[in-house]
Amino acid sequence: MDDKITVTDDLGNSFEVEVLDIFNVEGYENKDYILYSLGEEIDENNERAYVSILDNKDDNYRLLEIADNKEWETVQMAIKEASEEIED
Amino acid sequence: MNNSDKVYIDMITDTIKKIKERISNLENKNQGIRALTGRIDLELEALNLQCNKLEAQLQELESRIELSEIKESILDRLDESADKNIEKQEDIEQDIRQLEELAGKLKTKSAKRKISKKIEHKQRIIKRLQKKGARIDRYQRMVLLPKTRKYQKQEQILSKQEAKVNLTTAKINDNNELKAMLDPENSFIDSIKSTIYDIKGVFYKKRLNYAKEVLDSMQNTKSTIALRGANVVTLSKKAANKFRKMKEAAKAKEKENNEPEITALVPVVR
Repeated sequence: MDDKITVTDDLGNSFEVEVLDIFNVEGYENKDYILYSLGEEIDENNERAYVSILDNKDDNYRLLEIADNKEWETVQMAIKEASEEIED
Repeated sequence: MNNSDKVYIDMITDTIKKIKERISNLENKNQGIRALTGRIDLELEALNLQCNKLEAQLQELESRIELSEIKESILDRLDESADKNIEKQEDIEQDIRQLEELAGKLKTKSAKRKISKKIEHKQRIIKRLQKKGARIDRYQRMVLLPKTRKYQKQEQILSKQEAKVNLTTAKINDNNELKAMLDPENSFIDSIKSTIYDIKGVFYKKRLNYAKEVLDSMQNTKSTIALRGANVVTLSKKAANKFRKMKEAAKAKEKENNEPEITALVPVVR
């Protein structure tokens, strides 16, 4: 099975996203976050990715915006650290 | 992942960071010392070669000196002969003068003839002695004394070289001692690296296992996955590919072991 899931937005549009990572961050251990890509290239060195809070209630998954600034900073830091830690 | 795991992981991660820094510092120190010792080894080799060359030259000079001493001894004996020769000539010249004086006092021709013959005889002896003296002179003093100055200079150069070699040898011994001191640290570094790999392996294994569990669940869910909001982030392609690679490696490992082992993703401490 590959790393793709199908998500549906609030307008009923469905599309596939590539899941890059699912993780926790310090201080928000009760939440999961999902890092995913739509395959969008920004330039030759960078691509766009998305991060959402992964909410799960009774097997119903929802991807939510990270609204809190402090939480968002922490998540960004965690992504940066994770990418640095991973072997080249 | 529960809280206590997270706390444990954070503590270990922090320790790992500190250890990595220490490792990096020691490895830099090691590299510097190895480079220095390498240079000193080369220098020592060059100096030893120079010393050998100079010692060979000295040996040659010493041989020449020995030969020169033999010849000197011969020439001393020749000098002695020459002196005796001159002394004899003088004695005979003295005899000739006395005979000539005597001849002046003689009245008869026969007596004078007798004296003349004696004088001629003495003169012939003198001539022979003079020839002998000339032969001695012809054996010229081939002064094979060593070019003393050159010998002394060579000796000085050799002493300086030997001093340099001794100094370099001392430096190498110091460095070898330092290296020996670092050897236990090297073993320590190796064992720490090994521990770090193990710890990181456990950490990543837990992380990826969890991510895989959740992903599997999402892929198998019968419900719709609702996208209600997202934050945009710019990822370098390098970073994004690292995440992809991590997952691919995890899958490959799982396939290989037929169990959810993901130790292949243990990162290398650089």
